[in-house]
Amino acid sequence: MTEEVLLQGCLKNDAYAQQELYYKYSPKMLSVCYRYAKSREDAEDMLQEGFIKVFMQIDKYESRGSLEGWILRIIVHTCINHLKKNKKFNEHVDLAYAGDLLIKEDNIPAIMQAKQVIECIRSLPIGYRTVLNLYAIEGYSHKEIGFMLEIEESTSRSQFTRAKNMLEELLVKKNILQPKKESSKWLSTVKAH
Amino acid sequence: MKRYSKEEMDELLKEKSDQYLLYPSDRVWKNIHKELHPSNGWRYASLTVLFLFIASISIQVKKNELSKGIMNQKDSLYQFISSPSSDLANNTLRLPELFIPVQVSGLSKDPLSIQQLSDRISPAIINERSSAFELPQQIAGRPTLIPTPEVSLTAATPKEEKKHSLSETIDLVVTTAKKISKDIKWQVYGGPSLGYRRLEGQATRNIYQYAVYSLSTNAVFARDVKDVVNHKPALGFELGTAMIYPLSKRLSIRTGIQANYNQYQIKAFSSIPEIATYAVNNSSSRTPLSAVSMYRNNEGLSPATIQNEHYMLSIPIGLDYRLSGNEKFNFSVGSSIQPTYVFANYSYLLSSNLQNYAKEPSLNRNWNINGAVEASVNFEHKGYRWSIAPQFRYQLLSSFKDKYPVKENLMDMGIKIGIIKTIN
Repeated sequence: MTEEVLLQGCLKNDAYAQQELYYKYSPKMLSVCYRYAKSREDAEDMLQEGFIKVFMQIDKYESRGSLEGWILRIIVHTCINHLKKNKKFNEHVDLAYAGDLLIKEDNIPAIMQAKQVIECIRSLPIGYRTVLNLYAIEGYSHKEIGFMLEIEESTSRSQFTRAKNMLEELLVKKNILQPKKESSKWLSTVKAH
Repeated sequence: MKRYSKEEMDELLKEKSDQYLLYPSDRVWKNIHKELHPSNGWRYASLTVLFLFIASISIQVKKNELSKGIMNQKDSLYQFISSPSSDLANNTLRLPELFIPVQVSGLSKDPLSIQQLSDRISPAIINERSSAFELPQQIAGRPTLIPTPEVSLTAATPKEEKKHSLSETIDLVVTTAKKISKDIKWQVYGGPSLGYRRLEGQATRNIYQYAVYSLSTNAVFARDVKDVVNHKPALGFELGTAMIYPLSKRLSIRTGIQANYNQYQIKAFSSIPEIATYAVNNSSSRTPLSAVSMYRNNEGLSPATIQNEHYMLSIPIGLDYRLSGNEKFNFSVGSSIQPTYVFANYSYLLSSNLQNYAKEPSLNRNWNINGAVEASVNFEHKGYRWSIAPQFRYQLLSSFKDKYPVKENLMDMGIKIGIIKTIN
């Protein structure tokens, strides 16, 4: 079924068309939610809420961009709202949390690089993770992120920088990123001791 | 494993995020679907509960009205019976030799004997034709006897009062029951019906795929299962008995017991024995069910007709409303909710790849709910009341359990012929 046909069906509240649309985009959208969520169950809750909004507001889709992009924006906003309900994005809280950060090796299965990267992202503190997801992956500007998360633009920039540094360290540990020659020397010195 | 440089990190994040896909559990779509398409079953269940609640209140109100009438009737027995032998001229009043409890105002609740009553009564006017005598309202400040229709037994002794209450209560219950039973009508009915079904199910590949086990369909372009199935109605019947109680002149409540036989036919083809596989939506198990099939949906050895049969028992609870006419001839409409038990089910289910028919009893639902509407013509003939009603009956829940992706709702259209008799 073409996207146009699916769209027409969804506008008529046709259950079959809705289900087809859901099955087409849910795998990608769930992985998006998973990057924001604390757990798989939370991610599925976000997905459920997001798709209900998609179907209820399908008449507002104006065919300017792709349907997938439009659905992605709704899903991302749903994730942010979901996180806002449970967690205030407070820079000081995030810094304190970052100090106690532990990577649970047993939770990160070594199957695919993609999964490892996602799990590394998920292991970041919630504020860092959210800004990183929105800026580096979803492509929002710091100004837009500031508006969505109700933080300053400068806070968004600084959180992104910290998030990226932290992620780099994690990815180096996972051997996904090549370490700098200087740091590799430093690491080997540390290991020797 | 490829290792990325830090310069490639931004690309890495986007690339890996796009590659990473997660498949949600079944409950997510179920909840979305429930939110977008609320189930009608709950609406019908709520209406049923509301209807039963209103009906029970109506019955209670009617009972109370009856009991009040009976009380009024009994009260008259306790009114003072005038004695034709009263001697007005001598200002004496010979009261009947019986103990008459009357409501006494201003007195203590000590029992009074007739003599004491007669001592206190001043000359009174006796109306010999009435069953009560009139007294002055106030007799020089003395307590006044006021015979009232609402008699309480305050003047009676405690022991006798209790005895009367018990016997009165028993009488009341018996009388009420008799009164109600006088109004109950019994109906025996039956008639032929045309059985069919509404089929709904997704024929696309997605529904039947699992991570390690996938089934392909040979009809991926079919929009729905009903587009690949060839079925037609067949003759069934309905038999039942009902109890009808009038709530008002026009409205009656009915309930009883009913048996239904529903069948419809499927055009298929006979084949050599094959395995029919049923993929089910069951998150705890990814193993599909299998059954031996002797029938194919398309292209087999020879054409064959499969008969899917259902034998059901139900308890219909419904309302009838008389639209026009009188007791001898009238036109009414009715509806009912029928909790149903399917005590025998001989039906063939279509396999997940839409190729074979086989029996898989574990997917059949034993309990169900049906709804029915009818419009009837009622008339009297040779001492009996007849009712002829075209009727439509629809099964509200699927014949199959939820884990089977295909939904089937049975329906019957028929003529119901009933005989109504009031049994005293």
